Amino acid sequence: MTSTREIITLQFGNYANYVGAHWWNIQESGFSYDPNGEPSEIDHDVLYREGVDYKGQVTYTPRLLLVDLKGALQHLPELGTLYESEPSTSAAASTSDRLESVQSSIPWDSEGVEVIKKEPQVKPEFQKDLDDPHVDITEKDYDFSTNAKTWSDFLYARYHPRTINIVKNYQHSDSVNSFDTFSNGSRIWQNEYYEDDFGDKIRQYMEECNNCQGFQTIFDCANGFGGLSLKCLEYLNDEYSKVNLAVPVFNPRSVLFENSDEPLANSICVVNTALVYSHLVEQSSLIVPLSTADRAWRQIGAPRHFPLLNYKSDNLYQTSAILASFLDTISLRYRLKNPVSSCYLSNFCSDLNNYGRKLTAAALGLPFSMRSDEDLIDCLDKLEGSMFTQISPNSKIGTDYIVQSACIRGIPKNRLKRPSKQAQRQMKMAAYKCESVSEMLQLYFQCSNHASLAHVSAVEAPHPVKIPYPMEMFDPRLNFEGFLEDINRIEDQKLISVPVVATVQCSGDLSDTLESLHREASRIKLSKIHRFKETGLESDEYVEVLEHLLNFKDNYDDNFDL
Amino acid sequence: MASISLLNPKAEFARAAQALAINISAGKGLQDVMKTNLGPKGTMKMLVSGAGDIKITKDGNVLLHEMQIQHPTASMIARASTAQDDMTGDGTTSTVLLIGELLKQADIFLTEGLHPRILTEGVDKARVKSLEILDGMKIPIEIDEKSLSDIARTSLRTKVHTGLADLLTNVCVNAVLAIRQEGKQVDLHMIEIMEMQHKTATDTSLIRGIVMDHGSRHPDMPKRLENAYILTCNVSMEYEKSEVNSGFFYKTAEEREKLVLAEREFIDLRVKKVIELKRKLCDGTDKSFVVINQKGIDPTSLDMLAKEGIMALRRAKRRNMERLALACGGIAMNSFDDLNESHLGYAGLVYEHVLGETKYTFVEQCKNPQSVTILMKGPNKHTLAQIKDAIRDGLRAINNAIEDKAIVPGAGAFEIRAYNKLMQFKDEVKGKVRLGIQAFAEALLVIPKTLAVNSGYDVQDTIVKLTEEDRLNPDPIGLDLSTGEPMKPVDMGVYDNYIVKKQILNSCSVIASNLLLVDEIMRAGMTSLKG
Repeated sequence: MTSTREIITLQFGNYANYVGAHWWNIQESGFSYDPNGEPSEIDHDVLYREGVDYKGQVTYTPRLLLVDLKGALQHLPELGTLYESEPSTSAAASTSDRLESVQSSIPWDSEGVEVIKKEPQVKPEFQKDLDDPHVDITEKDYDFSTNAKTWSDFLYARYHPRTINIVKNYQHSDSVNSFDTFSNGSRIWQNEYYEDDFGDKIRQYMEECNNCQGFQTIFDCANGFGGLSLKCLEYLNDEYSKVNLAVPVFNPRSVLFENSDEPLANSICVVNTALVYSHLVEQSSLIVPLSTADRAWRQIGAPRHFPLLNYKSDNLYQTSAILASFLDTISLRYRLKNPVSSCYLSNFCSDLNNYGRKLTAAALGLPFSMRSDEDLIDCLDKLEGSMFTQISPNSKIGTDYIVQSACIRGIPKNRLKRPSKQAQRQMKMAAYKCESVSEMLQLYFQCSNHASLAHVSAVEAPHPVKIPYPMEMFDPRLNFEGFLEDINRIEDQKLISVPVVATVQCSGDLSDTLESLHREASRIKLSKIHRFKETGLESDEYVEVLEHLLNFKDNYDDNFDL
Repeated sequence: MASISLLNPKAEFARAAQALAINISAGKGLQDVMKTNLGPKGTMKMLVSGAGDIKITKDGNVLLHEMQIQHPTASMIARASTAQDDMTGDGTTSTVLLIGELLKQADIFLTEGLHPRILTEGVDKARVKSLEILDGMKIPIEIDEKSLSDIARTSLRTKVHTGLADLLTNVCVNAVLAIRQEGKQVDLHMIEIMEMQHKTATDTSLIRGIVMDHGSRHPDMPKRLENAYILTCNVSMEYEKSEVNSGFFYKTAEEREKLVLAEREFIDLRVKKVIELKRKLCDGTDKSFVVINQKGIDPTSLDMLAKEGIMALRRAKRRNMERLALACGGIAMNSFDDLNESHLGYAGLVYEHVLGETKYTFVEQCKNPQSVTILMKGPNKHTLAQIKDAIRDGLRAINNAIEDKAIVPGAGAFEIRAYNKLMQFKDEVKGKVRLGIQAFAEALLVIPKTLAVNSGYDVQDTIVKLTEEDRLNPDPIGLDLSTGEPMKPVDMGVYDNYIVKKQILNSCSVIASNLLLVDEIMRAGMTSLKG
């Protein structure tokens, strides 16, 4: 049966939406509109849906629901711009025109209407240029890393009107977060809107699916959105009992909460995180926490080092792009066309979560470091250390007893090894008999990790790099296809793609991760933080949560053999 | 120097008169924003966000939610108004006005040196008295179309324009009457509210049946059926891959295939049971068969059903299961074991309507439907949102009347009568407490005053006329907004909900008293304490 294997994506929280915006951008910059070109190896229907707007135009939008605070959208209307009844031209002129037409259509005395207008948000240059078919966006430098005020500024993808949901009770702000506690977030779910309307939107997506694989949820872990997303996961389990992939993300910039100084804000973050982790054990099939910082419980740690990347550690735009690249690569396993039996989200999760080890660690090689004159076989032969950088907070993965699922993309077939005539030295290597990229990488993992299991998917198409992706992060020595050269790339040649490798790993070492979280969390006296109690979290419950974390840790301590 | 600053030098505080001034100004400020919206002649507000999102409303509660209220006192008043909405669905603007006015009236006495405690005692006395007056004005009603229409119309006309209000009144009253069962509480959830972005607001209508926002997902399924059996169920007809890591359980590929087939067959069996029943009941007759499932139906199952001419809908709303059973009869099934005719419902007509990318399925011509659908139409989102808010309030107003079994005359009649009676009552009370009663009585007049202002009449003129007329007349007297003259609301069919008025009186006096008794406001965060 070759019906599509749909997945519904949910994003909760501002930083999650940054990551999401990049992810959808990456996917759309990989779309090929060339009818004669080779069909893509990726089945975009897994995450996207086809629709029709009010004028009968066909649309192709992410099967996505996102939640953010009021004011976080800036210039983006809640319903998106895709399904507008009349086409909008330049922003300022059209709004006043539209207002007038709306006003005249009200069947009421026209003096009876009082217009309360907020200052119209100026669309950033990039969004204006997207509306204008005459401007080529690839020719310009928008400098998003300093200019982007929120994720909608660099959003290339267009969302379905169903997609955006706003938490009206809280105002978004860059400096102070008022949506503070886990329990606050849980309470938001209880109001009418989420129980009915939000649930109904999920149902509508679900109704369209022929063969839904499950859900993937990306959410901010350390603030109120954690509670909201956990409630939502609970709802999904009750209602649909499908596979749930949970991706908690950690904002690399420490944000203060309302009426709190730094130590208090940090404590709140720790409590929130502990609550999220312990609830996720029940409510998700697999947990893949992501952060570009090495530690995230109490204070944001030092940024992770990528050998060929240069990014600002607290820049939301750049760091979220790194996480999005990871998601885009790792998700290839369940997004491939012509699926073999193991290419489902459920297989992805069940491969890794044996013995209830649902918490995993993510690692990424961005770009996969390979010289332009090398073959994969040589590259792996010479490789010292790891090809990955860890991107899960407080996690260190050893080299032995690990289970992992890796994806590699962007290594063309002809770069695997030399044909036998020119092979010379390569002939002697054990890997020379491997016929495909995935096979060779599999062998590599087998040899370098003792007593480990690995699943490898390989895709030939590289990771596209196009505006609005932060291409300024990459080392200038990469050539246009992302392979390493000795000299810098010439100025006017643009980077168009990079090879990437990503993996999700699970090993006994993750018990340290949980241990450290438990240690931090148990040090906090919950009764000193009034806002938790005010929003309905009792100390007893917290004690239970801590115990739950310890029990969860035990899953990693027992030395099961694989 | 407040004592708090000894403990926390960074604390901000305001004392006594200053604190009171803050509270009063907040009350007044909110009142100023809302007062133009009161009554059928009040203006609407159109809110335009920075990104161009439009919201048009007149509903006090909606407005308060849209405004970012920072002021702590104002947000307390706003909460009182929200509570009013949660309880009764109406009277939100009145609540805000009354609290503001009560603070304003109190201010006059307080600046003259009256202690707030004495004043609030008077306010409380006045509240008790006015509740008595309200009880005296109750008009018991029979639950019939006319009296319910009167109350719904009064409420709806304050929310949308007259033509639409009258249409919605009809729709709402008929909807409630349809689902109401003698001796049982009305469950408003059994009225489905469905929206279609299409045509104009005045095309909104009541469907005596259920409308669903999804359709069959198979090209060969019938789009229109008459004389249909309806099977509502909550049974998965979807083959799901087992989640267990399969590798451990099969020795060979064939074995695995077999297991998959066996699982598939399990689902097929369910589908066949439905088909069997359909054949038994419909073959050879002019009857047809519709399956409405809360769980999924996968393409293979859809295909099997389509071949039989069965229309099948998947992933129906949870609540629609209950609604369908009430509308068409039958029982929502949780399994297909011993499925028979008595479990099925009936509808005379089932058809699909496609609008853009959304399909709508209408289930109509039911025998004695006890669940109905209000189908809202409107050219754009903000019109639909406005109608939705109005319908919700209209339904609540009707439901309140049914529960109270009584209504009270509207158009400011209660406030005028209460004012006159309270002024008399004042003289029977000894001491300064009577000032509180006076303040309360004066405050009540804000409702007819604002109604007069919003309709463009002179305030003093109107109030004098009204109070005069009321004193001379045993019947309640209200303000005729089209002439500015006194009139009898009972003759004009202008009524309010009893519970709404009662709730307003209670919550306003409590909130206002609390605010008046505040003698110190401080803001001292936890910031300097370690967590």
